[in-house]
Amino acid sequence: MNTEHTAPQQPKTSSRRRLFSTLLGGAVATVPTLAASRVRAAGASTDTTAPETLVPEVAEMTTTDSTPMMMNDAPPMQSKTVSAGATAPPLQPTAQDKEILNIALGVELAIRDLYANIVAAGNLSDEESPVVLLIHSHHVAYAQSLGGLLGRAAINKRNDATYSQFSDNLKGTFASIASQLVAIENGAVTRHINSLNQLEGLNGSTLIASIISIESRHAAALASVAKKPLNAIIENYQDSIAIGA
Amino acid sequence: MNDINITEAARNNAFSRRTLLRTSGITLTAGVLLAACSKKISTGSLPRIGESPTTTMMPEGLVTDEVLLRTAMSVEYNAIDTYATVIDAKIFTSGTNNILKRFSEDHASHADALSGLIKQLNGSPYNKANPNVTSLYINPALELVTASDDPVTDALVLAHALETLAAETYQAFVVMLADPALRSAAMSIADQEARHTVVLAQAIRPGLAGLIPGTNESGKPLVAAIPSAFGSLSTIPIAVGKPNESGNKTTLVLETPSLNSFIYDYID
Repeated sequence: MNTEHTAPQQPKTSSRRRLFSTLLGGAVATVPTLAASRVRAAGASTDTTAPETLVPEVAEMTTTDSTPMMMNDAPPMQSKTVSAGATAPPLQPTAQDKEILNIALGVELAIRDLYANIVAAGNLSDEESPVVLLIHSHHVAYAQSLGGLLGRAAINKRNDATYSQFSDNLKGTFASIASQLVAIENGAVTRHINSLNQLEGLNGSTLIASIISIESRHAAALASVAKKPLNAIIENYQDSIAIGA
Repeated sequence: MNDINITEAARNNAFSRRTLLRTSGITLTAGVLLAACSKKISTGSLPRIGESPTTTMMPEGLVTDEVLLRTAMSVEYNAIDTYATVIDAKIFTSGTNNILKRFSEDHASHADALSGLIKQLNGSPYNKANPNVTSLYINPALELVTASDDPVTDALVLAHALETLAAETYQAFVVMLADPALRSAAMSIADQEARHTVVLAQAIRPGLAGLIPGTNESGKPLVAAIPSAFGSLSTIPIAVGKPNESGNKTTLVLETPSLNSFIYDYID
Protein backbone atom coordinates (compact mmCIF):
# COMPACT_ATOMS: atom_id res chain seq x y z
CA MET A 1 0.00 0.00 0.00
CA ASN A 2 2.80 2.28 0.76
CA THR A 3 4.12 1.71 -2.67
CA GLU A 4 0.74 2.42 -4.19
CA HIS A 5 0.46 5.59 -2.19
CA THR A 6 3.87 6.99 -3.04
CA ALA A 7 3.87 6.04 -6.67
CA PRO A 8 1.02 8.39 -7.73
CA GLN A 9 2.49 11.19 -5.55
CA GLN A 10 5.67 11.40 -7.58
CA PRO A 11 4.21 13.34 -10.49
CA LYS A 12 2.43 15.65 -8.03
CA THR A 13 5.74 16.49 -6.36
CA SER A 14 7.22 17.27 -9.75
CA SER A 15 4.27 19.50 -10.56
CA ARG A 16 4.74 21.39 -7.34
CA ARG A 17 8.36 22.00 -8.16
CA ARG A 18 7.33 23.39 -11.54
CA LEU A 19 4.87 25.65 -9.80
CA PHE A 20 7.50 26.97 -7.39
CA SER A 21 9.92 27.43 -10.27
CA THR A 22 7.32 29.37 -12.20
CA LEU A 23 6.52 31.56 -9.23
CA LEU A 24 10.19 32.18 -8.54
CA GLY A 25 10.77 33.05 -12.19
CA GLY A 26 7.84 35.41 -12.12
CA ALA A 27 9.13 37.08 -9.00
CA VAL A 28 12.55 37.53 -10.57
CA ALA A 29 10.94 38.98 -13.65
CA THR A 30 8.94 41.36 -11.50
CA VAL A 31 11.94 42.86 -9.71
CA PRO A 32 13.30 44.80 -12.73
CA THR A 33 9.83 45.96 -13.61
CA LEU A 34 9.23 47.34 -10.14
CA ALA A 35 12.72 48.80 -10.02
CA ALA A 36 12.19 50.50 -13.36
CA SER A 37 8.98 52.04 -12.17
CA ARG A 38 10.81 53.39 -9.11
CA VAL A 39 13.53 54.86 -11.32
CA ARG A 40 10.92 56.53 -13.45
CA ALA A 41 9.34 57.97 -10.34
CA ALA A 42 12.67 59.29 -9.11
CA GLY A 43 13.41 60.75 -12.50
CA ALA A 44 10.14 62.55 -12.43
CA SER A 45 11.38 64.60 -9.47
CA THR A 46 13.56 66.63 -11.82
CA ASP A 47 10.55 67.54 -13.89
CA THR A 48 9.84 70.97 -12.42
CA THR A 49 7.21 71.65 -15.04
CA ALA A 50 4.70 69.38 -13.30
CA PRO A 51 4.27 70.92 -9.86
CA GLU A 52 0.62 69.88 -9.80
CA THR A 53 1.70 66.33 -9.02
CA LEU A 54 3.17 67.31 -5.65
CA VAL A 55 2.11 65.48 -2.56
CA PRO A 56 -1.15 67.27 -1.68
CA GLU A 57 -0.38 67.79 2.00
CA VAL A 58 2.80 69.66 1.21
CA ALA A 59 1.24 71.62 -1.60
CA GLU A 60 -1.42 72.83 0.79
CA MET A 61 1.24 74.12 3.15
CA THR A 62 2.18 76.85 0.72
CA THR A 63 0.31 80.08 1.23
CA THR A 64 0.92 81.53 -2.21
CA ASP A 65 0.83 80.30 -5.77
CA SER A 66 4.61 80.06 -6.02
CA THR A 67 6.13 76.66 -6.53
CA PRO A 68 7.49 75.04 -3.38
CA MET A 69 11.23 74.67 -3.42
CA MET A 70 12.24 71.22 -4.55
CA MET A 71 15.46 69.42 -3.92
CA ASN A 72 16.39 69.81 -7.54
CA ASP A 73 15.20 73.39 -7.89
CA ALA A 74 18.46 75.01 -6.85
CA PRO A 75 19.57 77.63 -9.39
CA PRO A 76 21.87 75.96 -11.91
CA MET A 77 25.50 76.98 -12.01
CA GLN A 78 26.47 78.13 -15.47
CA SER A 79 29.70 76.60 -16.64
CA LYS A 80 31.67 78.87 -18.87
CA THR A 81 33.68 76.74 -21.13
CA VAL A 82 36.74 78.20 -22.77
CA SER A 83 36.58 77.10 -26.34
CA ALA A 84 39.66 77.84 -28.34
CA GLY A 85 38.31 76.44 -31.58
CA ALA A 86 37.92 73.01 -33.07
CA THR A 87 41.43 71.96 -32.11
CA ALA A 88 43.35 73.53 -29.27
CA PRO A 89 46.57 75.22 -30.36
CA PRO A 90 49.81 73.59 -29.18
CA LEU A 91 51.62 74.99 -26.17
CA GLN A 92 55.17 74.32 -27.26
CA PRO A 93 56.64 75.88 -30.41
CA THR A 94 56.12 73.95 -33.62
CA ALA A 95 58.95 73.46 -36.13
CA GLN A 96 57.83 76.60 -37.96
CA ASP A 97 57.54 78.48 -34.67
CA LYS A 98 61.15 77.62 -33.86
CA GLU A 99 62.33 79.27 -37.07
CA ILE A 100 60.32 82.41 -36.31
CA LEU A 101 61.41 82.51 -32.68
CA ASN A 102 65.05 82.05 -33.68
CA ILE A 103 64.78 85.15 -35.87
CA ALA A 104 63.29 87.02 -32.90
CA LEU A 105 66.13 85.74 -30.75
CA GLY A 106 68.71 86.94 -33.29
CA VAL A 107 67.04 90.37 -33.38
CA GLU A 108 67.06 90.67 -29.60
CA LEU A 109 70.72 89.65 -29.43
CA ALA A 110 71.55 92.29 -32.01
CA ILE A 111 69.68 94.99 -30.09
CA ARG A 112 71.37 93.88 -26.88
CA ASP A 113 74.75 94.35 -28.53
CA LEU A 114 73.76 97.76 -29.91
CA TYR A 115 72.79 99.02 -26.45
CA ALA A 116 75.96 97.50 -25.00
CA ASN A 117 77.99 99.50 -27.51
CA ILE A 118 76.22 102.73 -26.49
CA VAL A 119 76.98 102.09 -22.82
CA ALA A 120 80.58 101.16 -23.62
CA ALA A 121 81.09 104.38 -25.62
CA GLY A 122 80.66 106.35 -22.38
CA ASN A 123 78.75 109.28 -23.89
CA LEU A 124 75.81 109.04 -21.53
CA SER A 125 75.05 111.37 -18.63
CA ASP A 126 74.26 110.16 -15.13
CA GLU A 127 70.56 110.57 -15.84
CA GLU A 128 70.67 108.90 -19.25
CA SER A 129 72.81 105.94 -18.27
CA PRO A 130 70.20 104.18 -16.01
CA VAL A 131 67.60 104.42 -18.75
CA VAL A 132 69.86 102.86 -21.40
CA LEU A 133 71.07 100.22 -18.97
CA LEU A 134 67.48 99.36 -18.05
CA ILE A 135 66.44 98.94 -21.69
CA HIS A 136 69.63 96.96 -22.39
CA SER A 137 68.80 94.61 -19.50
CA HIS A 138 65.31 94.11 -20.91
CA HIS A 139 66.69 92.98 -24.27
CA VAL A 140 69.06 90.63 -22.45
CA ALA A 141 66.02 89.19 -20.67
CA TYR A 142 64.12 88.79 -23.96
CA ALA A 143 67.04 86.92 -25.54
CA GLN A 144 67.37 84.68 -22.51
CA SER A 145 63.64 83.92 -22.44
CA LEU A 146 63.49 83.14 -26.13
CA GLY A 147 66.58 80.96 -25.79
CA GLY A 148 65.01 79.16 -22.86
CA LEU A 149 61.81 78.52 -24.77
CA LEU A 150 63.69 77.22 -27.80
CA GLY A 151 65.98 75.03 -25.74
CA ARG A 152 68.33 72.99 -27.90
CA ALA A 153 66.79 74.50 -31.02
CA ALA A 154 68.05 77.96 -30.06
CA ILE A 155 70.57 79.51 -32.43
CA ASN A 156 72.29 81.95 -30.14
CA LYS A 157 73.63 84.17 -32.88
CA ARG A 158 72.76 87.81 -33.26
CA ASN A 159 71.04 89.00 -36.43
CA ASP A 160 73.90 90.67 -38.29
CA ALA A 161 71.59 92.45 -40.71
CA THR A 162 69.94 94.30 -37.83
CA TYR A 163 73.22 94.99 -36.10
CA SER A 164 74.95 96.39 -39.16
CA GLN A 165 71.87 98.42 -40.13
CA PHE A 166 72.08 100.52 -36.96
CA SER A 167 75.56 100.18 -35.46
CA ASP A 168 77.18 102.97 -37.49
CA ASN A 169 74.45 105.47 -36.52
CA LEU A 170 74.71 104.97 -32.77
CA LYS A 171 77.81 107.01 -32.07
CA GLY A 172 77.40 110.29 -30.26
CA THR A 173 75.33 111.78 -27.48
CA PHE A 174 72.06 110.35 -26.25
CA ALA A 175 70.10 113.17 -27.85
CA SER A 176 71.72 112.49 -31.21
CA ILE A 177 71.06 108.75 -31.18
CA ALA A 178 67.60 108.75 -29.56
CA SER A 179 65.81 108.79 -32.90
CA GLN A 180 67.79 105.74 -34.04
CA LEU A 181 66.91 103.94 -30.84
CA VAL A 182 63.24 104.72 -31.44
CA ALA A 183 63.58 103.23 -34.94
CA ILE A 184 65.20 100.08 -33.52
CA GLU A 185 62.45 99.59 -30.94
CA ASN A 186 59.65 100.33 -33.41
CA GLY A 187 61.18 97.95 -35.94
CA ALA A 188 61.41 95.21 -33.33
CA VAL A 189 57.76 95.76 -32.35
CA THR A 190 56.66 95.48 -35.97
CA ARG A 191 58.76 92.34 -36.37
CA HIS A 192 57.18 90.70 -33.34
CA ILE A 193 53.61 91.69 -34.27
CA ASN A 194 54.14 90.13 -37.69
CA SER A 195 55.55 87.02 -36.00
CA LEU A 196 52.36 86.58 -33.99
CA ASN A 197 50.51 86.19 -37.28
CA GLN A 198 52.40 82.96 -37.90
CA LEU A 199 53.13 81.54 -34.47
CA GLU A 200 50.96 78.57 -33.54
CA GLY A 201 52.34 77.58 -30.13
CA LEU A 202 50.82 79.48 -27.23
CA ASN A 203 54.01 79.66 -25.15
CA GLY A 204 55.82 81.44 -27.95
CA SER A 205 52.85 83.72 -28.66
CA THR A 206 52.44 84.80 -25.05
CA LEU A 207 56.16 85.46 -24.66
CA ILE A 208 56.26 87.57 -27.82
CA ALA A 209 53.12 89.44 -26.70
CA SER A 210 54.67 90.30 -23.34
CA ILE A 211 57.79 91.56 -25.15
CA ILE A 212 55.70 93.73 -27.49
CA SER A 213 53.95 95.36 -24.53
CA ILE A 214 57.24 96.71 -23.18
CA GLU A 215 59.14 97.35 -26.40
CA SER A 216 56.25 99.63 -27.39
CA ARG A 217 56.89 101.51 -24.17
CA HIS A 218 60.63 101.63 -24.91
CA ALA A 219 59.90 103.26 -28.26
CA ALA A 220 57.40 105.74 -26.87
CA ALA A 221 59.60 106.60 -23.87
CA LEU A 222 62.64 107.23 -26.06
CA ALA A 223 60.54 109.29 -28.47
CA SER A 224 59.16 111.25 -25.54
CA VAL A 225 62.56 112.20 -24.13
CA ALA A 226 63.71 113.00 -27.67
CA LYS A 227 60.92 115.61 -27.74
CA LYS A 228 59.17 113.97 -30.68
CA PRO A 229 55.65 115.17 -31.57
CA LEU A 230 52.70 113.23 -30.14
CA ASN A 231 52.04 111.36 -33.37
CA ALA A 232 55.61 110.05 -33.45
CA ILE A 233 55.27 108.85 -29.86
CA ILE A 234 51.99 106.99 -30.11
CA GLU A 235 52.15 105.71 -33.68
CA ASN A 236 54.43 103.13 -35.22
CA TYR A 237 54.97 103.24 -38.97
CA GLN A 238 58.43 101.67 -38.80
CA ASP A 239 59.04 98.72 -41.09
CA SER A 240 60.01 95.46 -39.53
CA ILE A 241 63.68 94.98 -38.85
CA ALA A 242 65.51 91.86 -40.01
CA ILE A 243 63.28 91.50 -43.06
CA GLY A 244 64.17 88.34 -44.93
CA ALA A 245 66.13 86.93 -42.03
CA MET B 1 -5.95 1.89 6.43
CA ASN B 2 -4.02 4.84 7.62
CA ASP B 3 -3.18 5.82 4.03
CA ILE B 4 -6.83 5.63 2.99
CA ASN B 5 -7.83 7.80 5.90
CA ILE B 6 -5.28 10.46 5.12
CA THR B 7 -6.30 10.67 1.46
CA GLU B 8 -9.94 10.97 2.30
CA ALA B 9 -9.24 13.60 4.92
CA ALA B 10 -7.28 15.52 2.40
CA ARG B 11 -10.05 15.33 -0.17
CA ASN B 12 -12.58 16.53 2.38
CA ASN B 13 -10.41 19.48 3.46
CA ALA B 14 -11.30 22.71 1.56
CA PHE B 15 -7.88 24.21 2.29
CA SER B 16 -5.74 21.43 0.93
CA ARG B 17 -2.10 22.11 0.08
CA ARG B 18 -2.88 21.96 -3.62
CA THR B 19 -5.61 24.54 -3.31
CA LEU B 20 -3.39 26.77 -1.23
CA LEU B 21 -0.56 26.60 -3.75
CA ARG B 22 -2.89 27.20 -6.69
CA THR B 23 -4.53 30.19 -5.02
CA SER B 24 -1.27 31.78 -3.97
CA GLY B 25 0.18 31.21 -7.43
CA ILE B 26 -2.74 32.90 -9.13
CA THR B 27 -2.56 35.79 -6.67
CA LEU B 28 1.16 36.33 -7.22
CA THR B 29 0.84 36.08 -11.00
CA ALA B 30 -1.98 38.61 -10.97
CA GLY B 31 0.17 40.91 -8.81
CA VAL B 32 3.05 40.68 -11.24
CA LEU B 33 0.77 41.47 -14.16
CA LEU B 34 -0.76 44.45 -12.38
CA ALA B 35 2.67 45.84 -11.40
CA ALA B 36 3.92 45.53 -14.95
CA CYS B 37 0.85 47.21 -16.40
CA SER B 38 0.60 49.99 -13.81
CA LYS B 39 0.83 53.66 -14.86
CA LYS B 40 4.14 55.47 -14.67
CA ILE B 41 4.52 57.23 -11.35
CA SER B 42 5.49 60.83 -11.81
CA THR B 43 5.12 62.10 -8.31
CA GLY B 44 8.35 60.83 -6.86
CA SER B 45 9.70 64.27 -5.96
CA LEU B 46 10.60 64.82 -2.39
CA PRO B 47 9.05 68.13 -1.39
CA ARG B 48 10.77 70.66 0.78
CA ILE B 49 9.04 73.21 2.89
CA GLY B 50 9.52 76.74 1.63
CA GLU B 51 9.05 78.83 -1.47
CA SER B 52 11.24 79.97 -4.29
CA PRO B 53 10.70 81.85 -7.52
CA THR B 54 10.61 79.88 -10.72
CA THR B 55 14.09 78.94 -11.85
CA THR B 56 15.22 80.60 -15.05
CA MET B 57 18.16 78.97 -16.74
CA MET B 58 20.88 81.34 -17.91
CA PRO B 59 22.22 80.80 -21.40
CA GLU B 60 25.54 79.04 -21.53
CA GLY B 61 28.46 81.36 -22.26
CA LEU B 62 31.21 80.05 -24.45
CA VAL B 63 34.44 82.01 -24.70
CA THR B 64 35.08 82.28 -28.41
CA ASP B 65 37.18 84.63 -30.51
CA GLU B 66 34.04 86.66 -31.14
CA VAL B 67 33.34 87.01 -27.41
CA LEU B 68 36.92 88.10 -26.73
CA LEU B 69 36.79 90.72 -29.49
CA ARG B 70 33.41 92.00 -28.24
CA THR B 71 34.89 92.29 -24.75
CA ALA B 72 37.92 94.17 -26.07
CA MET B 73 35.55 96.47 -27.95
CA SER B 74 33.64 97.16 -24.74
CA VAL B 75 36.88 98.16 -23.00
CA GLU B 76 37.57 100.62 -25.83
CA TYR B 77 34.18 102.19 -25.15
CA ASN B 78 35.01 102.32 -21.44
CA ALA B 79 37.99 104.50 -22.32
CA ILE B 80 35.98 106.66 -24.75
CA ASP B 81 33.24 107.28 -22.18
CA THR B 82 35.71 108.02 -19.38
CA TYR B 83 37.65 110.54 -21.46
CA ALA B 84 34.39 112.23 -22.43
CA THR B 85 33.42 112.53 -18.77
CA VAL B 86 36.82 113.87 -17.74
CA ILE B 87 36.87 116.39 -20.60
CA ASP B 88 33.34 117.55 -19.75
CA ALA B 89 34.38 118.00 -16.12
CA LYS B 90 36.90 120.62 -17.30
CA ILE B 91 39.61 119.30 -15.04
CA PHE B 92 42.42 119.94 -17.53
CA THR B 93 43.65 122.77 -19.65
CA SER B 94 42.86 122.71 -23.35
CA GLY B 95 46.31 121.30 -24.18
CA THR B 96 45.82 118.20 -22.06
CA ASN B 97 42.23 117.91 -23.22
CA ASN B 98 43.46 117.82 -26.81
CA ILE B 99 45.74 114.89 -25.96
CA LEU B 100 42.85 113.08 -24.31
CA LYS B 101 40.67 113.77 -27.34
CA ARG B 102 43.36 112.26 -29.54
CA PHE B 103 43.49 109.19 -27.31
CA SER B 104 39.73 108.95 -27.48
CA GLU B 105 39.88 109.05 -31.29
CA ASP B 106 42.46 106.25 -31.19
CA HIS B 107 40.12 104.16 -29.09
CA ALA B 108 37.29 104.83 -31.52
CA SER B 109 39.56 103.63 -34.36
CA HIS B 110 40.37 100.51 -32.38
CA ALA B 111 36.67 99.88 -31.82
CA ASP B 112 36.02 100.26 -35.55
CA ALA B 113 38.81 97.82 -36.35
CA LEU B 114 37.44 95.32 -33.84
CA SER B 115 33.95 95.78 -35.25
CA GLY B 116 35.24 94.78 -38.67
CA LEU B 117 36.95 91.69 -37.26
CA ILE B 118 33.80 90.67 -35.38
CA LYS B 119 31.71 91.01 -38.53
CA GLN B 120 34.18 88.79 -40.36
CA LEU B 121 33.41 86.16 -37.73
CA ASN B 122 29.67 86.66 -38.39
CA GLY B 123 29.32 88.20 -34.94
CA SER B 124 27.57 91.30 -33.66
CA PRO B 125 29.79 94.22 -32.62
CA TYR B 126 29.23 95.54 -29.10
CA ASN B 127 29.06 99.32 -29.26
CA LYS B 128 28.83 99.99 -25.54
CA ALA B 129 31.11 100.18 -22.54
CA ASN B 130 31.67 97.06 -20.47
CA PRO B 131 29.04 97.35 -17.71
CA ASN B 132 31.10 95.49 -15.10
CA VAL B 133 34.20 97.59 -15.71
CA THR B 134 32.07 100.73 -15.53
CA SER B 135 30.29 99.85 -12.32
CA LEU B 136 33.19 98.21 -10.49
CA TYR B 137 36.09 100.48 -11.41
CA ILE B 138 35.32 103.57 -13.45
CA ASN B 139 32.29 105.02 -11.68
CA PRO B 140 33.82 104.73 -8.18
CA ALA B 141 37.09 106.16 -9.47
CA LEU B 142 35.39 109.10 -11.20
CA GLU B 143 33.51 109.93 -7.99
CA LEU B 144 36.79 110.01 -6.09
CA VAL B 145 38.56 112.04 -8.77
CA THR B 146 35.88 114.73 -8.90
CA ALA B 147 35.92 115.00 -5.09
CA SER B 148 39.72 115.01 -4.90
CA ASP B 149 41.89 117.84 -3.65
CA ASP B 150 44.13 117.25 -6.70
CA PRO B 151 41.78 116.25 -9.52
CA VAL B 152 44.35 116.91 -12.25
CA THR B 153 46.85 114.35 -10.98
CA ASP B 154 44.11 111.91 -10.01
CA ALA B 155 42.47 112.11 -13.43
CA LEU B 156 45.87 111.43 -15.05
CA VAL B 157 46.38 108.46 -12.71
CA LEU B 158 42.95 107.10 -13.64
CA ALA B 159 43.62 107.58 -17.36
CA HIS B 160 47.00 105.85 -17.02
CA ALA B 161 45.34 102.94 -15.23
CA LEU B 162 42.66 102.66 -17.90
CA GLU B 163 45.21 102.59 -20.73
CA THR B 164 47.20 99.98 -18.81
CA LEU B 165 44.01 97.96 -18.36
CA ALA B 166 43.30 98.11 -22.09
CA ALA B 167 46.85 97.07 -23.03
CA GLU B 168 46.80 94.22 -20.51
CA THR B 169 43.44 93.05 -21.80
CA TYR B 170 44.80 92.48 -25.30
CA GLN B 171 47.92 90.79 -23.98
CA ALA B 172 45.80 88.52 -21.78
CA PHE B 173 43.58 87.59 -24.73
CA VAL B 174 46.52 86.38 -26.86
CA VAL B 175 46.57 83.02 -25.10
CA MET B 176 42.79 82.64 -25.53
CA LEU B 177 42.41 83.67 -29.16
CA ALA B 178 42.34 80.65 -31.45
CA ASP B 179 43.27 82.45 -34.67
CA PRO B 180 46.93 83.62 -34.84
CA ALA B 181 45.90 86.50 -37.12
CA LEU B 182 43.63 87.81 -34.36
CA ARG B 183 46.46 87.56 -31.82
CA SER B 184 48.55 89.73 -34.11
CA ALA B 185 45.70 92.21 -34.59
CA ALA B 186 45.09 92.36 -30.84
CA MET B 187 48.72 93.15 -30.07
CA SER B 188 48.89 95.79 -32.79
CA ILE B 189 46.15 97.61 -30.86
CA ALA B 190 47.86 96.90 -27.53
CA ASP B 191 50.98 98.50 -29.01
CA GLN B 192 49.23 101.85 -29.20
CA GLU B 193 47.52 101.49 -25.82
CA ALA B 194 50.96 100.92 -24.28
CA ARG B 195 52.24 104.08 -25.96
CA HIS B 196 49.32 106.00 -24.46
CA THR B 197 50.43 104.85 -21.01
CA VAL B 198 53.88 106.29 -21.61
CA VAL B 199 52.51 109.72 -22.48
CA LEU B 200 50.35 109.74 -19.38
CA ALA B 201 53.16 108.40 -17.18
CA GLN B 202 55.38 111.21 -18.40
CA ALA B 203 52.63 113.71 -17.60
CA ILE B 204 52.49 112.36 -14.04
CA ARG B 205 56.22 111.87 -13.56
CA PRO B 206 58.12 113.74 -16.27
CA GLY B 207 61.70 113.44 -17.46
CA LEU B 208 64.24 110.65 -17.65
CA ALA B 209 63.67 109.73 -14.01
CA GLY B 210 60.03 109.05 -14.81
CA LEU B 211 60.92 106.40 -17.37
CA ILE B 212 62.30 103.92 -14.86
CA PRO B 213 60.60 102.36 -11.81
CA GLY B 214 60.99 104.15 -8.50
CA THR B 215 59.41 104.55 -5.09
CA ASN B 216 58.32 107.48 -2.97
CA GLU B 217 59.47 108.33 0.55
CA SER B 218 57.16 105.74 2.08
CA GLY B 219 58.31 103.01 -0.29
CA LYS B 220 55.23 102.95 -2.52
CA PRO B 221 55.92 102.38 -6.22
CA LEU B 222 55.68 105.42 -8.47
CA VAL B 223 54.20 105.51 -11.94
CA ALA B 224 56.87 104.63 -14.51
CA ALA B 225 56.78 104.75 -18.29
CA ILE B 226 58.73 101.46 -18.47
CA PRO B 227 57.51 99.60 -15.38
CA SER B 228 58.95 96.14 -16.01
CA ALA B 229 60.87 93.94 -18.46
CA PHE B 230 57.81 92.02 -19.64
CA GLY B 231 54.21 93.08 -20.03
CA SER B 232 52.38 92.51 -16.77
CA LEU B 233 48.97 90.88 -16.40
CA SER B 234 48.63 91.69 -12.72
CA THR B 235 46.08 93.93 -11.07
CA ILE B 236 46.39 97.71 -11.40
CA PRO B 237 46.20 99.54 -8.07
CA ILE B 238 45.53 103.28 -8.05
CA ALA B 239 45.29 105.73 -5.17
CA VAL B 240 42.88 108.60 -5.88
CA GLY B 241 40.51 110.93 -4.09
CA LYS B 242 40.64 113.23 -1.12
CA PRO B 243 43.22 112.08 1.47
CA ASN B 244 41.83 110.79 4.75
CA GLU B 245 42.96 111.89 8.22
CA SER B 246 46.13 109.84 7.85
CA GLY B 247 46.90 111.47 4.53
CA ASN B 248 46.17 108.36 2.48
CA LYS B 249 44.05 108.34 -0.65
CA THR B 250 41.52 105.63 -1.41
CA THR B 251 43.06 102.67 -3.21
CA LEU B 252 41.16 100.99 -6.03
CA VAL B 253 42.34 97.84 -7.77
CA LEU B 254 41.50 97.40 -11.44
CA GLU B 255 41.55 94.04 -13.21
CA THR B 256 41.26 92.98 -16.82
CA PRO B 257 37.89 91.51 -17.84
CA SER B 258 37.47 87.86 -16.99
CA LEU B 259 34.72 85.23 -17.22
CA ASN B 260 32.28 87.32 -15.18
CA SER B 261 32.71 90.40 -17.35
CA PHE B 262 33.13 88.99 -20.85
CA ILE B 263 30.61 90.23 -23.41
CA TYR B 264 29.13 86.88 -24.40
CA ASP B 265 27.28 86.55 -27.68
CA TYR B 266 23.89 86.46 -25.90
CA ILE B 267 24.47 89.92 -24.37
CA ASP B 268 22.84 92.69 -26.39
